[in-house]
Amino acid sequence: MKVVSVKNVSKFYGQKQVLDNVSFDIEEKEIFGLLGSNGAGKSTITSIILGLEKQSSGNVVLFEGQKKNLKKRIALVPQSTAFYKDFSVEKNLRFFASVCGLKSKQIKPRVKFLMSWLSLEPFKDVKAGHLSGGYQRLLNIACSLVHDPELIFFDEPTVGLDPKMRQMFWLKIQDLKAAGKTIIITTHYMDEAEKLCTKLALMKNGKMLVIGKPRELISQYGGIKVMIFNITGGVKKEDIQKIRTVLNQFTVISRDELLFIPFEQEHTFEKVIAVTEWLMKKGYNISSSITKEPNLEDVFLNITGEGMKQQE
Amino acid sequence: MKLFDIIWKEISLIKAQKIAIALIFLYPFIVVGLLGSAFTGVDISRMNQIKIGFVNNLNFESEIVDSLVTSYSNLSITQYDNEDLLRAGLYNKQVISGVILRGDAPNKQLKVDLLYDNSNLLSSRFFMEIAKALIQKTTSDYAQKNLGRIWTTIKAFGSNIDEEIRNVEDFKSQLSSAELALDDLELKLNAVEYKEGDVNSVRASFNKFKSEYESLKGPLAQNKETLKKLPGQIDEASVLISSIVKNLEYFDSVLLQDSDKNLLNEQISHLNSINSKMSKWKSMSLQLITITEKISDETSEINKSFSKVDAIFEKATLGARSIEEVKELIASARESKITIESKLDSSSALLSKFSKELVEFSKIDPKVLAQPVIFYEGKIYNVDPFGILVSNALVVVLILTCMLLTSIIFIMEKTENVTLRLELSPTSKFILFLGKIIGQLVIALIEAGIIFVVAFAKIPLPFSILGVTHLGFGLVTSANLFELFLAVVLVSLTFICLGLFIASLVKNQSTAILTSLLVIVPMLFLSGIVLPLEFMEPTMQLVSSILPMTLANNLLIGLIIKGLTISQLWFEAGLLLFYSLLSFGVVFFKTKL
Repeated sequence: MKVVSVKNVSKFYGQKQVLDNVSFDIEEKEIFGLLGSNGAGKSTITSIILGLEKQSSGNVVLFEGQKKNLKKRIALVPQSTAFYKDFSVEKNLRFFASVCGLKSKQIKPRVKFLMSWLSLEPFKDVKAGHLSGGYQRLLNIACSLVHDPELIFFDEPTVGLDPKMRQMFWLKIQDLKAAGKTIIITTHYMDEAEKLCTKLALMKNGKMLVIGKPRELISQYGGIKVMIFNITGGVKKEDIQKIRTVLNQFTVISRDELLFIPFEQEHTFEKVIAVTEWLMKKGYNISSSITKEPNLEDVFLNITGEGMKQQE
Repeated sequence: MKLFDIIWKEISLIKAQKIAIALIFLYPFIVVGLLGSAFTGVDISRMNQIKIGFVNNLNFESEIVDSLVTSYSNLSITQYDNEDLLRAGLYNKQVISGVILRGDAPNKQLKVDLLYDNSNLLSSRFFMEIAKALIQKTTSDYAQKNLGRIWTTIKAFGSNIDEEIRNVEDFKSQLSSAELALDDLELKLNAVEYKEGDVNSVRASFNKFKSEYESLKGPLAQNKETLKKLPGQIDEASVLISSIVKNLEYFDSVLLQDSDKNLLNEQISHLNSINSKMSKWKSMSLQLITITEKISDETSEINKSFSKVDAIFEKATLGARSIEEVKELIASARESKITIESKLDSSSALLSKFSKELVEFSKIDPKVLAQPVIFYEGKIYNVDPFGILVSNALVVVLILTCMLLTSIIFIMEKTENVTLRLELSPTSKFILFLGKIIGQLVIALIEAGIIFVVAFAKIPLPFSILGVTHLGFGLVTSANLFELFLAVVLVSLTFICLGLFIASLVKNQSTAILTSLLVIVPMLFLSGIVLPLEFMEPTMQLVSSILPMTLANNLLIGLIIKGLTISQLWFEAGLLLFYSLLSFGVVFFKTKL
């Protein structure tokens, strides 16, 4: 079932067009990622899908047109926390459960489950404002999921979290997927999108650039691997020229003490050995080397001509 | 259940702010307690903290000054030596208003300069009016005394005037009598009136007589000797006649015939008659001789009398003239009498009128002039003035808490991003707002309840705390409790909706507070709570009359003080409801929540 169907949606704020003929579909139980830099239109399309804003043109259909109890079936986990800081964890959850339509009998077990699932049990009587950032985010998720929605929007869910918390978040999202939820994630983090999403859409300036599975996008648009050598003192220009000539690769770049050598997919290991030996023979001190596989960042870079991180 | 949760959420959010809790519970006590303690039993006669200064610049000794100092023990009156010291006293607030007495003489108007500290709009003028009333009372007493003295004099004068009127009447009657006398005199004069011409004609006749007399005098003087002889001759003739008679009588005796006797007797009788006549002739001749002698005698009275008669004629002439003059004087006197009489009549009329007016005047009590009006205070509402403070305090507390708390919490929900979650929730916007409003209403009703308990209860304390012997002020009101409850709900609802409206316009709490205060403070000053509405320009009074705070104050005062019903206060209630619905409508349709 198509949980979300967006067809030719455009949005204007006055004269300014923020969405330009965007179309995509999201299947049930998918984790759909919306990638793009600031101002790409991710939040706008999310708001339109959630019903917070109206599109200027186009069509958005949720749950194949089923409109009954629509708000009970969708949820947003906003980027910034959205709960009462002066209420305790449990009180927040109970309140939002109530306004989200849960009956009295349903509230208690649901709240208990969420607190347990998100490890909030120890903090149930603690004022939300007194929680650490990570646990506030968890409470944020809990408040959004209190009514057990089918379609969940995550807006930049792991921004500002430490790696451990990020990992935990990813696990929870995957738990939700396993529970049959359809998830839409907007994120800046390519690794997150790559790790979590079953389908991705790249946006820029209100336009949908590409849409597809992460691996497909990488293989199609990601480009090639790149060897990066960290050489103490850098490499001389003539040596860089030699490497280019030998490898027949004119995209060899040296920047400070880093040497970037793009490799084709085949013969990767042999070429690594050959270049490494040559550089060592020349007396260069190679402090480290890595192989950078093409990723979504590269996909974005290759499609948009600019890096996500550069823009940030 | 959902609605209850939303209501409880609203109350809980307020509860979560410790300061808000303190405000909710302390505020009513503080506001009502302070205001009540400060202003309970406002009574001019007990306001002995009114300090009034005065300077005596009178150029004469006056009992007004003594009255000022001694008569008003419930006010603090201080005398200063000069105006500069009095002004210094005002600047330093040693006195709250000042009076400078100026005057040249006790019989001239006093001039009073009233000084007051006009840096305070309301109370300073109030105290100035008290000082003015004080002076008016003092001078009124003084004037009353003077009027009393004048009245006594007027009364005495009045009785003297009556006597004068009587004297005038007497004089008039005397004039009338004099006129009668004059009439009588005139009549007499008319009786004896003779003119100079008459006198002259008599004189002429007299002169003619005199000349004839003189003309006779000569011959008489000439015949005086002859005349002297006449008596002798008459005597001789008489003797002769007597002898004749005797002879005839003889003849009578001898005659024989009676006819002859008769004839003889007749002749004898004739002769006797002639003889008796001759004696008369003798006396006449003697008289004639005497007259002749007198006429001849220049020294005789007859001759002397001519000069006297001349003199008399002179006098008669003068008399005639005098009579003329007297008659003229009489005529003139008559005219004068008429003139005087008419003037006396008018004077009498004037005096009568004056006397009547004095009588009427004297019926007026001098107190009426000195103090034409005595004021008796009449309150049209039988209520403790503290009741007004309760209404005012309630409005102030409700507007501050309802507007501020509502807007702060609404903004807080926006800043904490909760509104996004609520917007996405399946609960309708209407229920969300309704719960919010009812939650705030509960708080407002708690506050109103506290205020009413403090106002209406009067619980004696077992011991005095800082002079306070009982809790509560024991206010009595005829207000219907249910209507009072409805009014409080309506007022709170209006302020809550206004708070929501303000919150919908701003983005953060500090701006919400500032904006709320920006609305509250002007309304406070224009509502009639701080300053009387009557002080304002008419246009502003009109504006003020439709402000929510004014309407709320009027509604509560109408119920608590005036004993009116909400239906009678339909304008205030209706307009407040309108404001509520309008604000709520704007917020509801404008806000995404």
